[in-house]
Amino acid sequence: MSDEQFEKLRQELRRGILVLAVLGSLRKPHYGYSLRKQLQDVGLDIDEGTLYPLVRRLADQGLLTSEWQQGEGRERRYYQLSPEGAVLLDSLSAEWLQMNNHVSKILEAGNGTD
Amino acid sequence: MELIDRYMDAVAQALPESRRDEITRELRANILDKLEAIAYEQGRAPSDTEVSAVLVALGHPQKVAGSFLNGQQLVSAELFPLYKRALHYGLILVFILALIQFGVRFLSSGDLAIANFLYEIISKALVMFASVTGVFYLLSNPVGGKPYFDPYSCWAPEKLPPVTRGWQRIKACEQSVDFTTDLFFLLLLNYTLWIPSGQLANLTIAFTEPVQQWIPILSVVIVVSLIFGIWKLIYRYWTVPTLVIEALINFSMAIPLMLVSRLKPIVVDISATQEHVEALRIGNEVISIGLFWVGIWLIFMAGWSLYRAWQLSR
Repeated sequence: MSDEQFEKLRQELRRGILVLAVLGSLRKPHYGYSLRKQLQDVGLDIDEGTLYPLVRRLADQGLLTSEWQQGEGRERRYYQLSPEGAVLLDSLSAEWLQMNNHVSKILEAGNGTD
Repeated sequence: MELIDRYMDAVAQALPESRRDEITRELRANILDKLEAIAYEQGRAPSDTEVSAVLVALGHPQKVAGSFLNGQQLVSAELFPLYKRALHYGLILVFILALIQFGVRFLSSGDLAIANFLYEIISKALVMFASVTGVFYLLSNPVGGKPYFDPYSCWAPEKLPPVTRGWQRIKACEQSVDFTTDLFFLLLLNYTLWIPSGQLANLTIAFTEPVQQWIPILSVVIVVSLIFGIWKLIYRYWTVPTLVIEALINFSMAIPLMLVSRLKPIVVDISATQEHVEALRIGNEVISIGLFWVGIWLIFMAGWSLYRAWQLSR
């Protein structure tokens, strides 16, 4: 498999997970840059061109609430999980854990036969 | 700051006015946060080169603006097959309309305006393309994000075409050629019904009396063929009954054509000057031979359809 194919499939794999990671991170309020830093700190490096529009989209869908706040002489838009988003996050988390469990079994079984 | 202002202005230009302020305000705040982090790491204000690098990393202003616009696209991937089909049928319609216009012009003035015919096709095709794309743009980007309708909701496996052989599927291109030819000849045979009386009086050629007696029979067969053609445009696959009907239509068309081909002359000069005698003689020969071989071809096609019907029924 070429590097290009790997990169394409890796991005596909990450796309769905990013939503879960962003929703999970926004249990606490964050502004754009601090959210990116938090995700980076746990090992998820998402470029800004992907992250900021994604956050906006989730807010447009009512899964996040947002509020402009003044701080350190500048304004920042803080995002936080909305009640609707919290319910969705619980369902998605359960789904993710279940899926991860199933896929892990498949991958482990594959390793066993080698 | 000047670079940021220029960048924000470029992003704003690519955004709809309703979302411009909200998105650029937030984007600017995010950029300033990043520059602040750089300043904190370096212990000094970021240079223009560093500001430029931050903006480059963020992406081209139009790309950044586009990423905020919720996957806006001309035609969604889901609707694309339907879009292609709509364009296909649109082109068929354009071709038929242009051909009718061409036929009317030719019969009423004798002007064989090929360039005008091509111009009509191209201009109509462009208008059709823009209109169809516009409709699909609206359907692909519904206000509020909720689709107006689901074009794929009304189906069932039982309704899928019972096709077991590749040739059973009727290509839209072939069908449209048949349909257009039928329509053209129907109009040609019955030109007295639709050409204005003023122009009718100026015509220089006409069918002979014996040929005119066949026109009602041929017209009925062509009308049946047209109705059957519409059916085939909707249900684009062959079955035993449709193949038998096709064979009957081809056979019903072939016999009158072959009989008409024996009725020389087929067309006569009705002008006062009678100056096209030799050209008309050659024309009659060509039409006669042409009709005979079209008849032979239709009989062959009728036989071919019956052979396929037999194949399917086995």
